[in-house]
Amino acid sequence: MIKDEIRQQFDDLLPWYVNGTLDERDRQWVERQLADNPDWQSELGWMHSLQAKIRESEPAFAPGQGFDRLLARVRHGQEVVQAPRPQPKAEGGLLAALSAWLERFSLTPALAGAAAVVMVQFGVIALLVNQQGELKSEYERFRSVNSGEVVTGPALEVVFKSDALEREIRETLVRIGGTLAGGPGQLGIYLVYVPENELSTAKAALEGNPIVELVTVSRNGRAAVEAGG
Amino acid sequence: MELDNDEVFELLRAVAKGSEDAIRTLYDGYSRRIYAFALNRIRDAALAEEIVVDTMHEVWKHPDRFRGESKFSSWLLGIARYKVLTALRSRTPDHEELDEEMPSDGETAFDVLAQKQRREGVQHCMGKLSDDHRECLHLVFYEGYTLKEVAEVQSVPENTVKTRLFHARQKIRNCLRLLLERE
Repeated sequence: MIKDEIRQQFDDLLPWYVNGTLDERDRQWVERQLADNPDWQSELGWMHSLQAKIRESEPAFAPGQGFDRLLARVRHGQEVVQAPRPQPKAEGGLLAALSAWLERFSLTPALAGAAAVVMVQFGVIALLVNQQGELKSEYERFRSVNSGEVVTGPALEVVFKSDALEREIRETLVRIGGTLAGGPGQLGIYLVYVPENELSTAKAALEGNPIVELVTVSRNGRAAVEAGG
Repeated sequence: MELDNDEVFELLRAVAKGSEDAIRTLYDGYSRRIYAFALNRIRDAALAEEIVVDTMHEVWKHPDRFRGESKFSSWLLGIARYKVLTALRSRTPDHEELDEEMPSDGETAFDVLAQKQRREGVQHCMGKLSDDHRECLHLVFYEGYTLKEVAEVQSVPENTVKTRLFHARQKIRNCLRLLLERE
């Protein structure tokens, strides 16, 4: 490795060395470089100083500040729903994936039933399409709802309002010609694929939709959905 | 305080049953960090407090969404980040982008900076960073997160985090140098 590359790697690792999250091997590598290049110590000192300043500037926040407002919302707002559970491994086939996806919505029994029928129909269609080897890319996009397929090209990251109904979400996706490619992640982010030439139109439509909290264009859709969890 | 995920799951199960004590415990444990994160980005104390309340309200409504694949704190900050982005959506940027292309005058300048930089100088220069850069520094040096965790909270690839850090450091360095030159 030439000197410039070593310096580049040193610069990349230094923040993590300073905040103490480097693994042992990288930590030792940084320490070797510091020993071999004493003049790099000044950068280390500067970064330690920067970290100290950032930590010193902790804002004042009284214990329990704002909790009364949370409590008021909790007591007057919509109540909770499902108990938390660790995420099962991403295995179990399409049906399990569909079930898990459906469970994430708070549905009335009738609506849940209707949604399940629709999803099963989609599943059957997708399987047939796959067997016939036609419209393969469409199937892969559908399958990616939970299997971790990578969406190629840009997509939209959408956060729906927490009181949005599953029916409203589906209708919205249909209206913009979007395909649900992933999500919701732990942060409630959905990854919605639309053809690239319709991206800005779809984004504008979503921004004006009252059930949408936030929409951004993702150039790296897969990473964004995984960020949720 | 960073609870381990088993403790968090126990509290979230209680939250799911409607326990106000459990949400209080989580609030006491994490509200300060959410506030610091939000304030760093949004720079409005009242709005930052609102972000805290909004974020914890999401926990109350959807305790099932935490699946233990990350630290609870980074999950919370991810929610807070989307709340902040929503709040900022209608606001125009109020920072002045810094020039990072100033010629370097050598390593010895860092010695001078390390000795002479002042708290207000760093805060002044932090305030002039872009929101993403400032947030990145906050997550690394205030929260002490790993590269992977910062990437998760910011919803970007790890290489983007490295690039942001590099540019943030350059900009702060040059800003401090300018301050020194003016003295």
